[in-house]
Amino acid sequence: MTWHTRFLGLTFAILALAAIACGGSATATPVTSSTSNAPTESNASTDPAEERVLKVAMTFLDEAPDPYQAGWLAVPTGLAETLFRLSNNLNPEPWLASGAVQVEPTTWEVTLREGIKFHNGVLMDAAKVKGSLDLALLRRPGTKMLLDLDRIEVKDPLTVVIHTNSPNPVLPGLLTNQNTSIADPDTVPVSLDESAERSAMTGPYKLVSFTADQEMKVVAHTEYWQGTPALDRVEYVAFNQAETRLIALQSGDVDISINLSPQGAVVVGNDSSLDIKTAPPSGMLFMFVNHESPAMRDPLVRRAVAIAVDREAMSTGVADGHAVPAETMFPPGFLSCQSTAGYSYDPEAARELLAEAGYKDEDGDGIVEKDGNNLELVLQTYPEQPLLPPMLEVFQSMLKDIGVGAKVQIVEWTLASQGGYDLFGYSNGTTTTGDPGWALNRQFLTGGDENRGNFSSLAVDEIIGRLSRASDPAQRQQIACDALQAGQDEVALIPVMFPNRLYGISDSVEWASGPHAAQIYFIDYLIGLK
Amino acid sequence: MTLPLLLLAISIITFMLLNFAPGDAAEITLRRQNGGITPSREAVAELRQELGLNDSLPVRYGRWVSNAVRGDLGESYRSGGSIATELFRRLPATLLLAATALALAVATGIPLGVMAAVKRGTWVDTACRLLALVGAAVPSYVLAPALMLLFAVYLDWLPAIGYGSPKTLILPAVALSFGTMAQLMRLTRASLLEVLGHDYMRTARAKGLSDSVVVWRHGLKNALLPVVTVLGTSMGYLLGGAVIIETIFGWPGIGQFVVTGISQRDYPVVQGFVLYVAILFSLVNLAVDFTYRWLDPKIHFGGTFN
Repeated sequence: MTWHTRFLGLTFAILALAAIACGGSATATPVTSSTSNAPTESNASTDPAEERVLKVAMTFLDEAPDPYQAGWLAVPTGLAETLFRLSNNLNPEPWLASGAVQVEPTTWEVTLREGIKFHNGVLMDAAKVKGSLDLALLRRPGTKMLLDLDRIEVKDPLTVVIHTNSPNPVLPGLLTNQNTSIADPDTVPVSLDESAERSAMTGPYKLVSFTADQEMKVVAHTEYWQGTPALDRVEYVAFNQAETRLIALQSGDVDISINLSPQGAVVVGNDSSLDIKTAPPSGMLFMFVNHESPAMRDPLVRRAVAIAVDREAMSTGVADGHAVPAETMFPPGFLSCQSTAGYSYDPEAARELLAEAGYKDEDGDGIVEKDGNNLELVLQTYPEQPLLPPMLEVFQSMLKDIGVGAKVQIVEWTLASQGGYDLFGYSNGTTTTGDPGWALNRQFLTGGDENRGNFSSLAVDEIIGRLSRASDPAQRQQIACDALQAGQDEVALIPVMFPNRLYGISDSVEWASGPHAAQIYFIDYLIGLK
Repeated sequence: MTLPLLLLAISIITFMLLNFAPGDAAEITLRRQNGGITPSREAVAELRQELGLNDSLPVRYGRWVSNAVRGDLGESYRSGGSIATELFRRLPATLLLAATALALAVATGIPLGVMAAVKRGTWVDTACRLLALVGAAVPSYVLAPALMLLFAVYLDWLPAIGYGSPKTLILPAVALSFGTMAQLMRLTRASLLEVLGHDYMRTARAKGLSDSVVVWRHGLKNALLPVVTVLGTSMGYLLGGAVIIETIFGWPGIGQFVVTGISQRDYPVVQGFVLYVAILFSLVNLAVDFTYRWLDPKIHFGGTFN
């Protein structure tokens, strides 16, 4: 055999290997990290041509849709439901429950809806709900910490009694948390090491297969309690690149792409066969203030920085108009008082505040100084939320406008807890439970879970303490307003904007209600194809 | 002997780099497990202890290496699953993509390089050189979306995404192979031009052999050995580049697993991946060394050149 025959042989061997592997991949079956409940597929229409199949591009499919471990996937995809859910106004409302009464400060009676069937056809009752909630607490320390329950009892087939360790007027709001989803406990694996993804839940769709980072398939739950789902199947694929989700939508490979970038929304808007659905904002982009940094300890400087943010310009410039300016930590309409509590953009007043704090530009370099030291701030943020780095870059120029120098550093998000900065760009949900106490406790309270800038104020702590004891809704609103105002006065943190969530959809999708205000709700039994 | 030393050096460098990077794996893990709820400081400290993150660097490295040589790359902080199992599960998809890309690069780059050399100075040569320039200048993460837009959106010939059919393989493989194709084309052209100027090529023509026989049988024979050398390094490049291409196309190989691991500061996943690439890269280069002997029997390892 001559040398070049050998070489050509090598080349063709490579090609043949690729061809064989390619052919093999078409029938490849996922092995581990994937599940298949193939028999349930028989519930779908038998004629593929008549099947109504919706294809959705998601950001991640990295964890199986376990109702206790990854409820963030199980609830939005219509697999799992909770006892309560957030309304479009972000207030808790009954879902699998029909109502709840706080019979004593530490006791709630929750009444369940009748006739709800799990995916395995078994009826949901109080014993099943108790078993499911007990498993939620057992399987996830975070859920146990969140609910702080003493015990759950079955009063009658449609009533569970929930005892809390301390008075908890907002328990229904906490029971909207996705990791308290209800599943038939008898279908949940005993071992904590096993995922509960195959457990029978109550949503309009039930799981057929899940392959991590690749795809998830669900079929209609024909015995769904609210009505027959409008689709036979939904297929989810995962692309963490926003550009890929956009192209997949443009090419018709998917019908819905979630979390489009503002630039992607412009492209979709120019395509007559596609449409953009905008969800009301619920997450907030803001800046932690490091209350231990020498510069930011001065409340005058904090105030000056807070009113140096041109939030309108941020929303239109950084987010291409797909954001709402954030003057407080809560989105518009969440609290009745917030219009009076916000920070208004006023660079002139900011310069005066800096002068009052003793900062003056005496060397004429454009940066104010005090005791010979320039006021130079360190701005840090992380890249996973794509709007944060440009937000800080724009803010850098706004600071320059009031005579404050700044440098921007892109770092890990966990560094927000470790100091080393003056301001840290961050993203957080503040309306997760529908109750303002949730975010106030986490962000304003001394030692709060998300109080990463170490803000501490006796006055604010005292008001939040009162809020946790109050049960009357009107009184809670008033106290929450007081706490918000007190925190704002001391510039606990600096809100910037609430970005809208953008969904690109093809014109074949029937989605009359559009996206829900809370990101956790997405696919319901009504969404369909024209 | 070189291979184990190389792997040892790579593992040490990777381990050091990841451990000196800022960020707390324990906090990231707990926050994720808690559905976004920030864990208490006590819980973070407890998990750091449990994961052995408080041990000294040499102790942690020693623990990891001793497990790795037994095939145990540890468990993912994020999912708790075996990393070796997960890499093995995803390996076929990545290898399929990289092998197809290599085959495409060979099948197009070498013939185009030959054409450019034979037709030197003509429009064919100019076009091939331009293509090589574009291939060298355009990174795969720019080319990939461009190909998706052209062939999936505007022409509607191919699917933009998907996995499991030959059609879905075409765009990612082309995007991945383009740079390597350009490199092979350039190298083949340059190498063949040098060979074509030698006296023995004139002699072959003087013997009355046709141009095609002179070029393909005598010219290419001597021009291709450096190309084979580059093929070895190309496979490493393709395996590394597959990480980016897989992320863009949603290809369910090792790339997505690693990218998520990096963003979640899942140290064991990243370490396992780097070790995997290092082993594959070394093995491919070893195979290339043996291929020399197969292609040209005059080459002997560790002996004299006949």
